[in-house]
Amino acid sequence: MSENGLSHEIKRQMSENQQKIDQLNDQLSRKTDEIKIIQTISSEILNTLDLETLFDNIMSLMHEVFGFEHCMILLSEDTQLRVASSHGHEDQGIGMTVPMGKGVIGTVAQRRKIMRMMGLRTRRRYVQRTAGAEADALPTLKDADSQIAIPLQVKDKLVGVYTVESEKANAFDALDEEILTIVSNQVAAAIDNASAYNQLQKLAEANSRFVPRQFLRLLGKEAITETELDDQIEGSMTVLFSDIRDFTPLSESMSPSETFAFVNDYLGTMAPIIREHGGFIDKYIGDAIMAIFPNSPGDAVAAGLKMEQHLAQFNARIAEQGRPPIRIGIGIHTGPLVAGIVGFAERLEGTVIGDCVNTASRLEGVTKDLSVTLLVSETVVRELAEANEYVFDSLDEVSVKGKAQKVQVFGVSERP
Amino acid sequence: MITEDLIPALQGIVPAWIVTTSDENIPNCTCVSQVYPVDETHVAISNQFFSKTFRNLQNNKHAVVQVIHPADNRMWVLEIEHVRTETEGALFDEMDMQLAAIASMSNMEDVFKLQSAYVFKVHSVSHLTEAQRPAQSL
Repeated sequence: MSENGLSHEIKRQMSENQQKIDQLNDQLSRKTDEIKIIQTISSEILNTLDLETLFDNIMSLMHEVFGFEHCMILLSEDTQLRVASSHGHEDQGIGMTVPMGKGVIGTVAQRRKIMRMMGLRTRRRYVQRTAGAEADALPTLKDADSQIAIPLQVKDKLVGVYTVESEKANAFDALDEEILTIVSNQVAAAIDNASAYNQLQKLAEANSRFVPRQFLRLLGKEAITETELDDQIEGSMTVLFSDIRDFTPLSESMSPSETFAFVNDYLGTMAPIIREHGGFIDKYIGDAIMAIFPNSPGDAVAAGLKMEQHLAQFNARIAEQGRPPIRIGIGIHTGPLVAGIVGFAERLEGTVIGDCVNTASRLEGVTKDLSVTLLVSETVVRELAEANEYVFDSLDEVSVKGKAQKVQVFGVSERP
Repeated sequence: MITEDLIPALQGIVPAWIVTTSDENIPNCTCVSQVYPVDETHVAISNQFFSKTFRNLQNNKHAVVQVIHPADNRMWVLEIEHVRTETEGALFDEMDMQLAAIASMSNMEDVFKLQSAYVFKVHSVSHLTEAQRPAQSL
């Protein structure tokens, strides 16, 4: 090889090397960019448990950082996917569903593989013309011509599908596919976490309707998951018992569903009063309410009187439906109680146990004989801090099962 | 051989035309929805209906395909040779998935089924305007 040829060869070699170095640098810089993106995404953008915020964050990330203007997130539900969030679509399409295996999104969900598809319009036309079939209505960008859809998975579980569309025929390339592959795992994990949290909150809310939060607090627990059999607390508390008088003959005049509606209407009127006065409902027994006031007997008396007032309003309302007025009885007693968890491991219930419950129930029963609505025991009168706000009327002494001593009972009214 | 500039022409945006010949050397020209890029020297087309094209390829493995670049509508001509037929694997799955996605939109997923992926070696790539000389190996 001549000297000239050699130097030419060296030059060529050098330029080739330089190209390789540039290529490597390029790859390295892209790797660094990828890592940066991943860090920002997980630490800032996806760091929320609120689903709506999370969707918004994902959508703006995709738009602002990656330039994906028209995006949708669909969440998986057994045999279909439902649009949970959309960005850059004229018609939001929230709530629309896609059956598994249908269209780009459904196929991606079914096969659990990313798909990048160009020339959607041409392809659709080809199938429609050949088959003479119209396409089903699926949530999509009007005039979409390119689309990428990627399954959002956490391990083997399909959380949903993320899709980005464009009216342009050739909008996405292999790099877009790569970016989505990188971020999709994190997006999936974030959505899964937020959904689980959301579900948990709903569950806790539903639970609190069955076991009141106040009851748990009484036991020193924050959540129902902390409770166990034998959890208990003792103390002096007030029990309020109330019942619709002669409810059985009344309910015989109604169909079962009418009875249900009637009882729920009645309880819906009375139950909030308990809560407003610092009490909670331990249980409903048909139309009867058993409520606990852990703080003071005054709360229970105030609640009882309020229930009496609201009964008049309730009666006025049912009179409009052509029903006769109802009467109720309320008995209140204060005494030592044990609140705790009873039952056996698989079926537990929070409840209160004590003589005090029987006495309150007995008092409620006696209201009928004495033709009054509200009766309280002498203990209540004695322990009432606000005694001077009321007028008490000693009505009778009643015996309670299992108790030697009779209990003196009083009618109560507000001091005028 | 298949360069970055050619890739957009292999995305199925504009349908392609493929020419094959029968055992009596009668040419057949037909439209295919997509010529898939496989790697730098291979492309693939989908076989859905066992049409004349695929019958012809049993006889003569050489074919010419014309693809159109969607950005400038320039036509490219590829001289290709059928080298293998795939009925499974990553390429088959990808092509099958795309077909299923489109077909299912019109409830035609049972009709439009990918039978196989025909893989071709690319012998030459040229612009149509450059393809003046007669195809050599046809």
